[in-house]
Amino acid sequence: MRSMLTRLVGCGRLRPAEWAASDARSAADAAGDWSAVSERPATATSLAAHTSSMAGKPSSTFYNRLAARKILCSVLVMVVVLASGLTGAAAPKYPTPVGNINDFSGVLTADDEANLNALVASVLEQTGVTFAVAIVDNTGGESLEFYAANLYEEWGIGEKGKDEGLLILLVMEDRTLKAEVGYGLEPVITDRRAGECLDLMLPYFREGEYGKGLYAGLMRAAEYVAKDRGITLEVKPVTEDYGDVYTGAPDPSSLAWLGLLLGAPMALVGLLIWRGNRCPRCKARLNVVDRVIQQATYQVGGIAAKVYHCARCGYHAEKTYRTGPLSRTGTGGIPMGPGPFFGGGFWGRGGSGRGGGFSGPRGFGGGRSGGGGASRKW
Amino acid sequence: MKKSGMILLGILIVLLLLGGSAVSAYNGLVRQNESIDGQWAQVENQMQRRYDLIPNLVNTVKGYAAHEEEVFTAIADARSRLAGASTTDDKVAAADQLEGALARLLVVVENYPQLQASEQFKALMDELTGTEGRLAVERMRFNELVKGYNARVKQFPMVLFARMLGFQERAYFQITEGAQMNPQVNFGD
Repeated sequence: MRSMLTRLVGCGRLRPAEWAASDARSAADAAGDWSAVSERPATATSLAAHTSSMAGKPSSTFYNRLAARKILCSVLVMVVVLASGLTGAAAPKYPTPVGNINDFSGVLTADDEANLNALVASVLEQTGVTFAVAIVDNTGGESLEFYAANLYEEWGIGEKGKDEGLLILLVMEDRTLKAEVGYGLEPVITDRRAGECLDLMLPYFREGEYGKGLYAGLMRAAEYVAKDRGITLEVKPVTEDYGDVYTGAPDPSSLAWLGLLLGAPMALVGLLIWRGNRCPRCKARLNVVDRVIQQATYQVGGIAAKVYHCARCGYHAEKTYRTGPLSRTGTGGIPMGPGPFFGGGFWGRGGSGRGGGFSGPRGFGGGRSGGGGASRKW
Repeated sequence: MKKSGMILLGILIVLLLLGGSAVSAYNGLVRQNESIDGQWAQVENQMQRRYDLIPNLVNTVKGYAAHEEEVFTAIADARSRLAGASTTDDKVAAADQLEGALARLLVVVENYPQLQASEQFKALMDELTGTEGRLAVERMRFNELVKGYNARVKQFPMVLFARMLGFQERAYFQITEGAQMNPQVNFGD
């Protein structure tokens, strides 16, 4: 039991009696060549064999094999961690929203986006209803209804439970558009009214004026909402940067990168600790202790030796190294600031320069839609 | 004496754990079953909504295309069959038939541009396609729930006890090809 424990604990333990003999050998060595690294034979028979190699050169094969094993293990660990990280960041089926107005096809101008963002922000502020726009090239083979319903659910437009949201989806390759209305908004934006809003957009779309068309249609929808709430809508331009607002689930791909970057070095370190320092003869864990040969002073560094000792087969080796001079101010720590992973860059998206500084979607709280609304072709 | 007591205690703990996991598995199946039933109720809701919308639509079309008797009769027949259906299978079959009749109606409507332009008709068609979309989404959600439930019931070791406890595989809501009404309608091209 004790031997097992000591093998587990490893370095830092008091040296056992059997090391006293090796101490004597090391002391003899210490009097001579400092930079020698030698493999001390435990028995007399192998002494002769080793005498020839004791020319002051390090036994390279041991360290080569150890290094090779470490490199192989670290590569394996990196592959595993990378694979797990990648599955987390696997190509998502639906695009990730960058704001309330998501133009993945590049048909809106910066002015268009600014106007639409102003409208969406005003509606959200004054009525609590979330408008969203998604412009995609194609639905990837999925039917328009399912794509719109699934995208709505994936983005979670509207507050959870209240489900007051409206998504306008434009599929550029098919020239179709769909209005997807959340459960909570269905009494206000009925299928008829949704169709009406889409009809308003059609003439603009046929001219290629997508931004103006969207504005006209969304404005009509906003009017319906305002009438339902009994208020007059005031469209205010977006003046300030709303900052990063945590409105929903964090972006899954950034989570995956975070996991990868945190996990890789930790796994690497853990594996190296587990795998390193094996006795070349019997593969047991080596006890590694540092032994001071010459103490460092404030002016000059010192010399120490790492003593490798195998409790099972008596294998013994030493590697000397130099230590730095003592410092009066204490050791520097590893700077562990939060860095770029926490704070703004993680939860929301960075504020975009276009569109009036609207950073990240607002009002995406996990709402659901029923698959209603209307659709049109232009 | 003490050793046999420890063994008994160990057996008791193991039995408790097994029993606990069995209970939670059973409850899980019950919950899934209930949510499937709830989702089916949603599907039936949407089918009912569509059923209620149809008379209005048919009347509007009749205003412009009075002599297309065949189509109107087909729709009326399908509707009455749906009204009379009691079991789920009957309802599904009748709904399929109704969808087929509606598809034929839309084909007829293509020949009447004035009808297509009328605001009344456009509004009604929006409502109908909206309901069709809702029906499709509720069906999709129903099928997803059934898929999860079926997978659980058929997996080992649940498969050994499921029959005993009264949990069986449930049927998906299949849509017969050809009867599906295409909800995308073009206006004013």
